[in-house]
Amino acid sequence: MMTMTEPVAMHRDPRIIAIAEQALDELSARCPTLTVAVLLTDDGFEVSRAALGRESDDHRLASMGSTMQALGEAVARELRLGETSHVAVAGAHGSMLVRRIGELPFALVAVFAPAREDDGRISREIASRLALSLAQQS
Amino acid sequence: MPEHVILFAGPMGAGKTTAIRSLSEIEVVSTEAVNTDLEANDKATTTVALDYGEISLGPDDKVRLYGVPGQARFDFMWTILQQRAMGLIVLVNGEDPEPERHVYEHLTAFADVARRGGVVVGVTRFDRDRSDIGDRIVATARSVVPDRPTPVFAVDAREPEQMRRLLISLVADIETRAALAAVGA
Repeated sequence: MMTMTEPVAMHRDPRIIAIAEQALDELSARCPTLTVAVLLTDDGFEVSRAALGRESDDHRLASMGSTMQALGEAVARELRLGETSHVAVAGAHGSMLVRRIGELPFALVAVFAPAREDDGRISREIASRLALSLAQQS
Repeated sequence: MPEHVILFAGPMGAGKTTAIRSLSEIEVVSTEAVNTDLEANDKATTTVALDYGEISLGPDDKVRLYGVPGQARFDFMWTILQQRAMGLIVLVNGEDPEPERHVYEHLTAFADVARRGGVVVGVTRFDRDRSDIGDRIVATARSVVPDRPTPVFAVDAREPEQMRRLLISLVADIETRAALAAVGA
């Protein structure tokens, strides 16, 4: 007899969560000023979170990351800027980066306070590897 | 006449993006993402920031149309977008078991716009056999905005003429209220 498997939403898939946790651990280890990072689905669900240095009260980070990414991509389309690699917000005390994970329906949002020169490069490297790992899952 | 900013609110799948695409004279700016939670809703995509379109209702009457995300986890966008809005169109899916619950939630969340400007409710996929839906929605709207009647229309979000009628009725209501306020009525 065939059994039907219920589809699991991406943000609740244990295999995806395990891969995300590993990537966020690496980001935390390599970026000492990282305060919080979240892997999210395109539509704003939190998959996994790494929070350091402060209480993690920004429960809307995944949905805000999703909004920022979509707005950034909409602006890039309107201005014909080509494919967007990331969206950044720079504040006096830190920065926020939203980076799409390859061509998958995931994004990485990371907050650095203070921002450092290497944050962009390290997050890009981790996002690229994450894209490969997650693609193998699907 | 100054430019109107009109919001389209309502739950995911009610037809907000479709309605703005039906109405807009410019290419709509959309921010749709893949819907990854198909258990909750089987729609392929969902709006995560806004939809934006424009329509002229007369030579000096430009209307800016903003669609807000339907899901409450994006409610920070509700706060941002309602600051400049003068009118609200709440769209609900008539096939939903309790469309009036969504009317209540969205009229409550956007009550400031409804009070200072105007509001209409559009029911998409309206089933004529469920004749009680209209009364339930009217009663719900009255409970949230008691000081004025809220018009409720059955509409097809894909039909530009129907959506235009809904929009004109809202703009007429806003302008009448503004004119009455100006003469102290």
